[in-house]
Amino acid sequence: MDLVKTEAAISVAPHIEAADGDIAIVERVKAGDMAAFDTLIKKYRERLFSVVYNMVSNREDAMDLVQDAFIKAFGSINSFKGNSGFYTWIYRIAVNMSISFIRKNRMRRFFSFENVNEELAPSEIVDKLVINYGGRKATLLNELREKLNEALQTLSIKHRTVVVLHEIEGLSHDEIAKITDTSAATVRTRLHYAKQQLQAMLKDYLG
Amino acid sequence: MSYNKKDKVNLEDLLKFKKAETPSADDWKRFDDQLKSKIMLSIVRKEPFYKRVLSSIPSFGKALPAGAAALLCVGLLLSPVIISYSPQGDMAQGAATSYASDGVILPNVDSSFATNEFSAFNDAESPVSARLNSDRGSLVSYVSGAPASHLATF
Repeated sequence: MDLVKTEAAISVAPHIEAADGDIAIVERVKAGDMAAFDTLIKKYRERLFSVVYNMVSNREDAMDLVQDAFIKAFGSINSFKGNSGFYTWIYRIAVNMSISFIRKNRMRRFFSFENVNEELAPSEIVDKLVINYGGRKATLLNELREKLNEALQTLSIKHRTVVVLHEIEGLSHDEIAKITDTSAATVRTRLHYAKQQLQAMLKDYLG
Repeated sequence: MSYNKKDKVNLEDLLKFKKAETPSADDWKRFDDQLKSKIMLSIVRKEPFYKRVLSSIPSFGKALPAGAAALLCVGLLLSPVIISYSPQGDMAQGAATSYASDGVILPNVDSSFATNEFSAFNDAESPVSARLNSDRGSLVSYVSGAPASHLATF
């Protein structure tokens, strides 16, 4: 396996570089170029899915919510003034929709998880876990997936949002503050608390 | 089991696994197809049919206010004519004929509706008297069809 490539694939925070050119694409969409919107979909669908999926813990719901977020963004593209990055804007739409969805469906939630793509799993960490715990790699990854999702579900929506955006998506505190409409200090506080919770839940895996 | 520091796994490491939970290429294909359909639907739903038809005629949009103003003027000019209009005899007769042809039995009249002349019915109401407030001791009675001087007696 190409370790460098794999690490690069899961590395986070190429957001600023990736956001270059978004404004020009948005202007094309505003002018009626629907193909330009396809470019934005292709560019952000995986990242949005990752955020939404880790918030709602249901792959089908996450797919629907990401689609709805894109439709909402498309429908209100003229209201996007470019004061913030397009990715901040679309992340905010997706996060708000996810929060609304979780609140609406609090009483009837079903979890359905994606399989771990072994090629994308950080091989160095997998190796460490195999050394520490033994057993088959696939079994270990499945068990870890369950534990991780279980731990994330114990967090409140606000804390989960911050963890997902920072630890999984790699957004900065300032970016998260913009998306969640809070201050960077609040983001840091929530993150600190959430990580404490997660560490307690996942202590069996932490060396 | 003892761990080397090198083998230690921290929380950030574990959370990296979450990035590996990704949909397959087939899922993304389905996602794209569904999303395209939904976007198309949202575009169609956005504007009602009649608005799209009207907007497809470029001159119509500009002519619409002028047309509406012209219609209003014509309406205002014609309004006295419409208000003063009353059905004429021929039309009323025609209406009566059509009702008759529908099997409605009309009262027997001696002259036509056109002249608005009617003969009085022969069977005029027979006077009927009734005593009112009889418990007061005074006689109060109503006589229908009687001359005005006999309508009531107190």
